[in-house]
Amino acid sequence: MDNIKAIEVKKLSADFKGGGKDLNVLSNINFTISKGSFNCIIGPSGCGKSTLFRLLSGLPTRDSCKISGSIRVLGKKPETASKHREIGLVLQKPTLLEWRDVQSNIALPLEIMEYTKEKQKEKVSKLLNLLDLDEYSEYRPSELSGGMQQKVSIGRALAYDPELLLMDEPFGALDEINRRKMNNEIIKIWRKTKKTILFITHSIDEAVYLSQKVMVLSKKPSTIHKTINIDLQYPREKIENSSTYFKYIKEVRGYLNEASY
Amino acid sequence: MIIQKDLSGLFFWFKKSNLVKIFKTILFLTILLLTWELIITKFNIPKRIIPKPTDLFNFLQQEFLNSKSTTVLTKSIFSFKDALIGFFLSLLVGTGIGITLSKSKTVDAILFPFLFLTQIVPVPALAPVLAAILGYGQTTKIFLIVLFTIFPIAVIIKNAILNIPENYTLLLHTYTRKRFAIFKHLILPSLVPPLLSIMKIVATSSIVATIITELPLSVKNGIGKDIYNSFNNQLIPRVWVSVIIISIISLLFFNCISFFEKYITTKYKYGQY
Repeated sequence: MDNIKAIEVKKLSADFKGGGKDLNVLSNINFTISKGSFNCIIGPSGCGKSTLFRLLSGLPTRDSCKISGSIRVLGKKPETASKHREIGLVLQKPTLLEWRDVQSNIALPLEIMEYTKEKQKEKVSKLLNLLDLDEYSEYRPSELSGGMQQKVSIGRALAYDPELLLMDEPFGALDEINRRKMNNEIIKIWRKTKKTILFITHSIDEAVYLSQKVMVLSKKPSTIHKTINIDLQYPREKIENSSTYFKYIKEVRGYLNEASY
Repeated sequence: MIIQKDLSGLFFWFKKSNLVKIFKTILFLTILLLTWELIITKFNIPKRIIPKPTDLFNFLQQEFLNSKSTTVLTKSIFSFKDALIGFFLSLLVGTGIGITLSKSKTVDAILFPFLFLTQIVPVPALAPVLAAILGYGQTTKIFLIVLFTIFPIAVIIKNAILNIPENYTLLLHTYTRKRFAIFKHLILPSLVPPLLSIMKIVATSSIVATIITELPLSVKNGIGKDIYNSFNNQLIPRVWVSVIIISIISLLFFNCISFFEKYITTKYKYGQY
């Protein structure tokens, strides 16, 4: 059981047909992610990160998209893994429903998946506790700050206890200070829940700060340009100014520059 | 959209500022009626052209104190009932059509021209044609009201569904593939605000449609038919009073819905992202 990888991508290519010419978005992508690890994908903007995210999450792609190669999420097709509720998504925007308060936003997937009322309550109160959102349980999403909203959406993704968390630039809209706060939060959550996380970002600092492994994506047609293992201990608040940390940042920046030209 | 922060239950409408507003309206109406009376008397305008307010009050007195079973008010209420049936039926069918149109571009391309036809064909002209098929009774009347009002409902509902941000649909798609669950948790709540605003438009237009459709049809007891007959019999004050009564009903109906809209949007925030 343990040798099943959380994500295994082999020779993945994706082409879009549109406007008479083919657009090769992803070309020959290979990578594996082991269970319980924290991984980042970083790449220049418009490099197909979101397409990759969509393919991994098992969401339907546009009809004009042609895909070759294989993706295995927990040993299954992404669609199957998604159907088995093994994938949790956190999108760029919090995507909360304004007509529901914080707790019922977190309960939304549970309600849809027809969990019993008691079970819903139990799970939600656990999550509110984990996320330090207890006192905000009856707030409306618009009454919360951007970071808090994103926290609620992380809670919602965790509600049905998926094995894999896919996060697509969730803190992209936050300012530096709040972003770092949320980075610490997500590390805390990861260490408590031991989920596998794949985090897409365009911030070098965020990628190094968060993950055990950073994959640098090249510009279109995207491929994995380089994989860097970040060998730093958690929590990382204290080593953020250390020379090794800066060494990693420099390294990732170097590869990212190479990948963008 | 105005959102009142200091909302306290259903009775937030009864505020001091609203009472002042009501008083001002009454004052304005009194002045209007007095001026109207004076001008008509001064220039000796005959009753069959423009009646005076006192003529209208005299008519009202005759109409209601002589306690006939069918007055202009009962006729108005009769028409209003039909308008209500048409109103709800139109909302129901229109929403259904709107949802269908939003589902597929092909269906939209095929159905939309027919839907548009309901807007360009004049309803009174269509009435005899439909009456020949459905008979000269209530069925045709309701059908015509629905035809008259359905277009904006379907269009607004369709657009509201198409305007739901993509990330919401995607996210719910990861929770379930059941269309009904997505409909219940995302689409239906998103339709509440457009439905409420379209209800305000349809509230008045359904009443207008009722009056218009009564003329070519031989539905008895309707106020539209009564206005037509009174006009032919030179009962001008009766025409005026009927028009005023039906306008007041229309206004009350509209206000009820506005109030309902304000209450729902403030309390539940449906369809806000």
